[in-house]
Formats: sequence, structure tokens, C-alpha cells
Amino acid sequence: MKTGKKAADRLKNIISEDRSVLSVGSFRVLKKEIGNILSKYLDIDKRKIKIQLEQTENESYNLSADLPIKPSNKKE
Amino acid sequence: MGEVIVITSGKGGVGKTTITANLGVSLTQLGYTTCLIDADIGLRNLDLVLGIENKVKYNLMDISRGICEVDEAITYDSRSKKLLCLIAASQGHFKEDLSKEKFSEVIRKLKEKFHYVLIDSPAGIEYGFKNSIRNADRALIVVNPEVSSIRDADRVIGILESEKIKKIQLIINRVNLDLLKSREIISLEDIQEILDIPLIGVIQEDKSIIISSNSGKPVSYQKETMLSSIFSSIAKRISGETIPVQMINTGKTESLWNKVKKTLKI
Repeated sequence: MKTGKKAADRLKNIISEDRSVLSVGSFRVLKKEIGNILSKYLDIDKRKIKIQLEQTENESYNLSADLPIKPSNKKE
Repeated sequence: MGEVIVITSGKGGVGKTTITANLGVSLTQLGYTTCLIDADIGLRNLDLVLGIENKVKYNLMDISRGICEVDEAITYDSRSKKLLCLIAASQGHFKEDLSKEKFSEVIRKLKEKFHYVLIDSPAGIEYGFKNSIRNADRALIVVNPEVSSIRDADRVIGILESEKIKKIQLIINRVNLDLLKSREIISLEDIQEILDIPLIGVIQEDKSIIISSNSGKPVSYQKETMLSSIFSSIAKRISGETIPVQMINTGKTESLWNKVKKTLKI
């Protein structure tokens, strides 16, 4: 790959991160803390947590999450 | 009422001052009265690039401190038949010394008097930059085809958008055609895709820019050179003429610059 294309690809990645309201690191911490809080109350599968931060049309952001709860293992 | 245009970039050293000087010359050649303002307080250079540094009597800070009136601080460029003038920055102050109220007042007065007021913004995104964009009707973003310039430009565009500046246009400066041809710089298409604002001009890297600033004669004063016709086309687009800027295709046998000329319809 020519370096011109490489530069463009690197820029596209970093600029989408620059434009985001959260850094990659703080996003990871957020995800972890959400898992920790929820697992106090529910049997959450922390590895399957999915959190998405999306920019909506009018320059605002929407945070959405999939938080799968483990099947109940209570004995009948 | 004239139009206030800020020339800005985020990153320093990409060619804001040279472009401000040359667009000023080109706009006056189209018959528009134009006042340039060097908003880079403490790092004054527009007077030097324009070649009228010895004629400057007062500067922006003198107006701000009430030492002179706005009209007295205007230095005319005699080569332009009194169409082009400059308000110089002060070399001995800091950006924070210029209050936003005073600066806004100066811009308002100049806007009544001239067709175009071009503000040469300082680099960075701090106070001096914020001051220089405050009264702008339009912003021209100058980028070089390299990663740090483009990333910084993206940040600046975000700030301009949040400041509700509606007209934001892109100038890609210092394009090295050999590197463009061998694809060792970011393609103009990719720059446009990343920054996603309308392109108003592409300027090639050229040693005559340095030679002209050595002697204080902006290239736009030369007749029928490649660079002067590029600046003239940008000035025409600013004034509302529709001259399409098309992207350059690389990898063809045709001389690249001819292609640029053709696509820019110079």
C-alpha cells in the first residue's frame, strides 16, 4: 500500500475517535462500571455486554446497550 | 455591508498568511476593496509578506488602546491603486491583550467600509483564534496534504460549526505534484472525504512562493503565472462565480498539472 493511502486510512480512524465525546479508554471504563453496577442486582454476563455510542443527526449522541442476563440456575 | 472571511487552519505553518496576502491582491484585481487584518498579535507577519512593513504606523493594539482611530491604522498598498490595505498586528503584545469587544468593534467598522475583510487567524484553537473567528461570515480552512494538518483542521471545523459559522470552505495548499503522482501523499479526494467541507482551491507547492515573500511581492501581482491564476480563481469563487473545482485523477499519462489546470478551468 502506498503511504498516501495509509495516511488516509489512519486519519479516518483517528478522526472518528477525535469527534467522539468519549475516549477509547474512558469508554472501556464506562462499560466495565456498568457491568459492575448491574451485576449487584442481576446475574449479568459481563463478557456479552454491548454498548454503543452513536452520533444522531442533530449533533447529539445516543448511548444504547445490550445487557444479556444469564439464564436462571436456581434449583426448582 | 462587506463580508468578513477568516483564514484559519489549527496547525501553524501551512500557509495562512501567504494565502491571505494573495487572496487580498486577487480580490482587488477583481475590483473589490479589501482590508486584511493580521490577528496574530505578538507574531506579526502579514505586513512583511505583503511587503509594506515600512509603511505601517499604527497597529491593532494601538486602536484597541485608543491611541489611534481605525482609519489611522489602515496601511494602504500603493500597488493596488488604494483598493488593498492592511491593519497590522502588534509584535510586542500577547493575543490576550486584545479584548473581544474592541476587536469586534474594529471589524464592524471595516465591514461598513470594504467589500471584503480578510482576517489572518493565529494558529491554535485558543483565545487569539477564538477572537479571530467571532465575527466571521465565512471561514477558509487551509490544509497541507499531511496527517497532522488534516487532523487539526478537523478539530477547527468542529469549533467553527459549533460557533454557527455556516460557510466553511477548504483550501488544500502546498500540494507536491510528484508525491501526488506517486501516491505518497494523501489524495485530494481522501482529504475532501475526511474533512467533508466544500473545496474552494488547490495550490501546488512552488518555490516562487518563498522567492516572492523574500522580496515582499505576493505572486498574485505577477501576470499570468500558474499561481496567480489559481489565486484569481479562488477570489472569483469567493465573489460568487461558479468555477467548478474538480478532483485530480492520478496515474494517467497526461501531465498532472495540466490536469489540475483543466479541472480548475484556469
